Amino acid sequence: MHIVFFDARVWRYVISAISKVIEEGVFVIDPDEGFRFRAMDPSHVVMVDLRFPRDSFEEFDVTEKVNIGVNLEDIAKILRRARKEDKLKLGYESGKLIVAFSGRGYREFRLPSLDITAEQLPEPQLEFKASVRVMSDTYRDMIKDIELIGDVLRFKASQDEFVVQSSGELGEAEIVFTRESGSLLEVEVEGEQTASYTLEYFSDLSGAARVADAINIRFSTDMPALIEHELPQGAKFSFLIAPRVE
Amino acid sequence: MPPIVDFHLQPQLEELAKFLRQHLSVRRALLIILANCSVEYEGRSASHLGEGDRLIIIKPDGAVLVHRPWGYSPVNWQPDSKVLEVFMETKHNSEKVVVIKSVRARPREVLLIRISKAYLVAAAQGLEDSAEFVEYLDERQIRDILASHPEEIEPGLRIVRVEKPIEPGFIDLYGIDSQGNNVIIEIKRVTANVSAVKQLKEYVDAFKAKNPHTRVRGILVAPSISKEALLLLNKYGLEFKQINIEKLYRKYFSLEKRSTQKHASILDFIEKAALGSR
Repeated sequence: MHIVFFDARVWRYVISAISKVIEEGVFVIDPDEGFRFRAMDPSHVVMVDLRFPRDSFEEFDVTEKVNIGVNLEDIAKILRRARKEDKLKLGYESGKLIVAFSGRGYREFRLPSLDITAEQLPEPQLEFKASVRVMSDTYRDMIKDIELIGDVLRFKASQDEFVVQSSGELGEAEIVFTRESGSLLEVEVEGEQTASYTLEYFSDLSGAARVADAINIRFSTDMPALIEHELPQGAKFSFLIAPRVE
Repeated sequence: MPPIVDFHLQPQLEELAKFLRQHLSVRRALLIILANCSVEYEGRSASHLGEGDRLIIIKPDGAVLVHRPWGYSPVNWQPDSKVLEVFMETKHNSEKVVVIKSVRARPREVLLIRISKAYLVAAAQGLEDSAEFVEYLDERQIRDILASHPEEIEPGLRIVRVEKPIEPGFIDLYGIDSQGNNVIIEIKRVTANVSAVKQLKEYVDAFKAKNPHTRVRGILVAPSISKEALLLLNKYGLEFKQINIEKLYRKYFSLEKRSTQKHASILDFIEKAALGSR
């Protein structure tokens, strides 16, 4: 079996980001569903979900479902070798995962599949009372701003604005997004919602936003937040993070 | 099946005697009596307790406890009863009392409880309690603490997976050390014995078989290890790391620490949401 994605850099940034939070897991490639990777970090604070639907691939030659156990850091190291205009080919042959770049020349890597059983993770059915949509670079700037001050970020959403706050020993930071300023693409909130999350996970995973078009931030007061990255070709990377309980 | 509970408020003495006999004949009942009574004891020692309001508990295994309305310890007790009898007795002043007689076989000890007035009697059949009483932490809790604080095992160790499935079972913790070696960790909350060493060896062997070109270390984590186990461990080239469970508890798990925990598990929220939508 093999699948080909038009831009290896998308995978490079997303997998590299995930590898900072999760060490290993199972790539599931399904003839109908496409590619999917779901995993939870060891402390159970974050659950990541990466999906590339069947149609997002230029070539999709999969006849039966395959589970490939991988060490994400190993894959990320290889994917960091992706250059502009490289296509990514993923394959699976006699217990080995094939990662190949085709652009200027063809470079292929083979890694043994790890003996990992896919974790049976529940499909989250959470409802979110606040839904905010921002451009991915606005989102990345927001994380970088907060990193200067504290290690906790606090989301606050109301009818017409989305505020991210942090306070630490160094001081306080407040970033305000409004529709008028153009920083906020969409906002839909029931009343006012506020919740706090550990910044570290956002920082670790922020690399994925480099290849995302827009980011959807969904949360409710003192409930988990779902951060959805819209990737090219209808692919999606999201993570669900537990709130901080003070 | 839920327990069956039966009770009488302010029972007449005849009713009380009948109720007690009925439930004692089944034997498995737990009985609670609030009554005015006097108690006599004779065995290794002897005592007499005059009349007063007491709480009497008779447990399904024959243990009998008589509590005064204050204090945590019983004033009279019988660790077990060979014979438990209930009968009516008429005192000198022709006043009637219900007598509960518990006889312990060895050492021979007799407890006589004379009830002159009962306020409440209750019986519960089929109470279930199979939980283990755990001092400080159980194995799963130790595992979770070490997963989030691998530095307690050794500096530079990163935990990759908790409960990693491998052919003969599950590896408690699987990680990578500072040198890049794979580390397989087996945790015991009591003194590690030979079978714990063999179990760890099995996991290490299974892992090596699956990943032939990797370097693998096996670490047995426990409060102590038996001599035989240590010999075998050395022979297999495995390692032992001593942990102090009380210290781990006080450092990471005591009630105060738990109340200031920073995160709930994301799974808790997902489970709650799934329950709510059902």
